[in-house]
Amino acid sequence: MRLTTPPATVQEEGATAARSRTRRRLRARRWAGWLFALPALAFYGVFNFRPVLMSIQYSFYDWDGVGAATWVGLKNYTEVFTDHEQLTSLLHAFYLIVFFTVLPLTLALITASVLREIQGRFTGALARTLLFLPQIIPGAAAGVAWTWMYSDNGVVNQFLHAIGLGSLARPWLADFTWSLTAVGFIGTWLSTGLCTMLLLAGIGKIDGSLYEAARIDGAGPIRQFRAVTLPGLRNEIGVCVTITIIAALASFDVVYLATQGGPGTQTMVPGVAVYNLAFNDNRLGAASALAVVLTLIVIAVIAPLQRLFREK
Amino acid sequence: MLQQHPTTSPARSHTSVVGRRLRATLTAVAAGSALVTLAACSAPGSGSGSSADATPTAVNTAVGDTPATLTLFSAAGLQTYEQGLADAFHAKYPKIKVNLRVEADNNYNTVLPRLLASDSTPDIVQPYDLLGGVKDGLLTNLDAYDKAYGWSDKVPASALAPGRVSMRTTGAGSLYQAGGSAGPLVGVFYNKELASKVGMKSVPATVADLEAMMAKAKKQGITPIVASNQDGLIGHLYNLLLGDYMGAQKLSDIVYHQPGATLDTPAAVKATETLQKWIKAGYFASDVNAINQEASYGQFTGGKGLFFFQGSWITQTLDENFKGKYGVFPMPPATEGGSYAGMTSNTLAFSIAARSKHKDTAALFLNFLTTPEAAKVAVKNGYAALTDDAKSAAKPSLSGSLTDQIQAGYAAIAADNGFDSWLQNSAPAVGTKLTQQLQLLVSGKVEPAAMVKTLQSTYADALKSS
Repeated sequence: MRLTTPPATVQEEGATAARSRTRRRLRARRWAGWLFALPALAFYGVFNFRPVLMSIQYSFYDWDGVGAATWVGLKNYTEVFTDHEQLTSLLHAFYLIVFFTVLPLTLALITASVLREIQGRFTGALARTLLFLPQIIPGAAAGVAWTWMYSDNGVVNQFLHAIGLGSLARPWLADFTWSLTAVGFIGTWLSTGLCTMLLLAGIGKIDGSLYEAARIDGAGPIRQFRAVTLPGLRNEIGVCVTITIIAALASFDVVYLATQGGPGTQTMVPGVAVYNLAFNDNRLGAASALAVVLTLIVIAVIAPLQRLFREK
Repeated sequence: MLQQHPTTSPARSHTSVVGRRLRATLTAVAAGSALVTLAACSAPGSGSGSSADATPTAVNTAVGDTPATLTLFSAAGLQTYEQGLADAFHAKYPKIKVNLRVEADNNYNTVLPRLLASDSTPDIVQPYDLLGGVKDGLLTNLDAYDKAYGWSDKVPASALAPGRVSMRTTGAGSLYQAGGSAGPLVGVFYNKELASKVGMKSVPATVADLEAMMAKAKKQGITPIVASNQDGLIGHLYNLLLGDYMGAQKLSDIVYHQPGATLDTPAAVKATETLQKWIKAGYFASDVNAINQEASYGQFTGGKGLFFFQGSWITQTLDENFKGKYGVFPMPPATEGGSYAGMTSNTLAFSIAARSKHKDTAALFLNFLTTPEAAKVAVKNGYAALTDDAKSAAKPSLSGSLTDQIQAGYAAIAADNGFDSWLQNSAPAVGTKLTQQLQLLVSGKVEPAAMVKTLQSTYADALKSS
C-alpha cells in the first residue's frame, strides 16, 4: 500500500481536507480488505478457531466422546502434571528438540555453506535434490521404513557389523535406553533437508560483494561463515527453528508408526498420548487438557524465539 | 507460520493509531464471541442418542420379502468371513442386500462409537466395548426380538451371555448382541516342519511339556515363540496363561465386571512369572517389542519360529502358500489333567445400531446367524462351531486338517467349560496399560507382582469412572 503524502507547502485547510479524505478512503480500503479475507476467515474460524475453543471446553469435562459429560473442573489439568506418563511425554518432546532442531540446523549450516561453493554446477543440483528428498516422503512412510532399517537384522545393524562394531548392534526401537534417540534420528533425517534448502535460499540472497570484501580483508572460510553467512541467515534460521521445534513438540506420525510410544512409555510423546487418551481410552476431556497444555508450551517456547530472530 | 514479517510500508506509521484501535476492537470481538460460544455450549455430548429408539417393543419378523439394504460394519481382517455371511443371507433372502463397510482392523474400535452416534450409522456392528455402547444408548435392546424369534431357547446360553448387559456388567440381563454360536480357537499354532525337528510327537499335555519343547527348540537355534509386542500382542499368550492359572471363571469375572473380581491374586502373579521366565530364557526374538502383527505373520509363515500364540482368525490372513505347513492345538492346562482354558468371542453374534432405520430387517439377519448355513460360513473361515458332530470330535491331536484341529481344540475347551475373554476387554484403559506393561516385562523393567498390581489399579480406576 503506497500513500501520497501531501506536499509540505500546501495550506493548512487543504492539508486537513486532504488528510481526512485520505483517512476515509483508507478506512474504506481497510474494510474492503477484510471483505476479501472473509471467506478464508470463515474457514479459519470454523475449522481452526472453533475446534480450539471446543477443546478448551472439553478439557473441563469427563467425557467419552459420545454420552453425557460431567463437569470436573481442573481435574484433567492436575492429571497432566501428576500422571507420570503424561509428564514424561512432555519431557520426551523437549528431548526430541535436540534431534528435530539442533542437529538438523547444525548439519544444514555446514551443508549449505559447502553447497554455496559448488552452486550452479551439476553436482550442486544433484546434492540439493538428494538432500531435499526426505522432505517429500511423508513422515508416516518414513516411520515405517525406518522400523525396517532399525530392526534386528536391518540396515543399521548390518552396517555396524560390517564396520566391526557388531557389539553395538541391537534392536534399536525395542531397546529401552536407545529407542527415543533412535526415533529422534528419524526426525533429524526428515528435517535436515528442509533446513538446508531454506538456508541455501537465504545464502543466495546474501550480497556476493560482502564475501569478496571479507576475503580482501583476509577472512578465511570460517571467519566468512561467522561474519557474513550467519548474520545474513538470521531470518531463515528463525524459520527453521520455529518449524522444527513445533515439529518436535507436536510430533505424532513418526513416533506413532515407529513405536506407538513403546517400549513401555519410553518414546511416549504428547501427540501419541493425546491420541491414546482420546481414541483408545475414550477420555476426550483428559486428552483435550493435555492438548491444551501442549499448545501453551509450544507458544511459550516459540514466542520468545520469534522475538529473538526478528530483524532489528 | 508464526513468523512475522516487519512491514516497512509508509502507510503503517500513518495508520498505526487506527490499526491499533481496529486490532483492539477485533480482539475484543473475538474474545467476546469466544466467551459467548463457551457459555452458550451446554455440556458436550448431552442428549445424543436420545432421538433413537434404543428399546423397540413392537417388532416385525415378517420382513424377509421386503426389499431392503443393510450395512454391516466390518474390520478388514474379517472381510472375507463377513462377506461370506452377507452372501449366504442374500442367497436365502434375495430381496435383501447386505453391504459391507470396511475399516482397518486397528481403527475399527476407534471409529465405531463415533459412527454409531452419527446420522450415517451402519445397521449391524460387532462392538468390543459393549458396556460403553449400551451406556451411551448406541445399541438396540434386543429383548423383543429375542422373544419373537426364540433365540434364548435355541442358542446355547453361554453363547448369548457375553451379549447381555445389566447394571453396567456383562453376562446377564437384557440382550444387546445376539446370533448363533461360533468362535475362534485361541491357542498354540505351530510350524509342522520345526515341530518335527524338535521331536514334538504329541500335543503337549501341560504347560511344562510345552516349555520343554521350547527349551529343545532354543537349543537347536530355533526361536521358540513368534510374537509381536509393539502392539502388545504377547497379550494373547499372557491371557492364555492367566486363564490357565486363575481358572477361566475368575478371569471372566474381571472382564464382565463382577463385584469383587480382582486380578491381584497369587495365581495371576504365577502366570506373569511364567511369561517372565520364558522371556528371560530367550524364547522370544530379541526385537519382539518392535514387531507388529503384520511382521509377526511374516515371521511365522517364513519359518522364523516354532510356536505362535494366536487366534484362528489368522487363517484368513496368513499366506496361502503356508497352508498345510502349520497346525494348532489348544493351550495345555497348567497341570496334568487340569482344565483347558482359552479366550474366545462369539463371532456369530452382532449388535444392531440404535439409530438404524432397518431394525426389523437387521434382526432377521441376526436370526439367520443361528442357522446351520451361517455356522458353515464360520467354520469355513477358521472359526469353530459347536455342531452336533463337533461335540463328539476327537481329542486335540497333531494330525488331521487345520479345520479339524480348530474344531477339536474348541470342543476340548468347551467340554471343560473353559472359555474366558481378554483382560483388555474389561475396559479400554486396561488395554492401553497392558500393552505398556507387557513391553516393560519383555525389557525386564517390571516385576510380575508389580505388573499385576498396576493392571489391577488401572482396572479399578476404570470401573470407578464408568
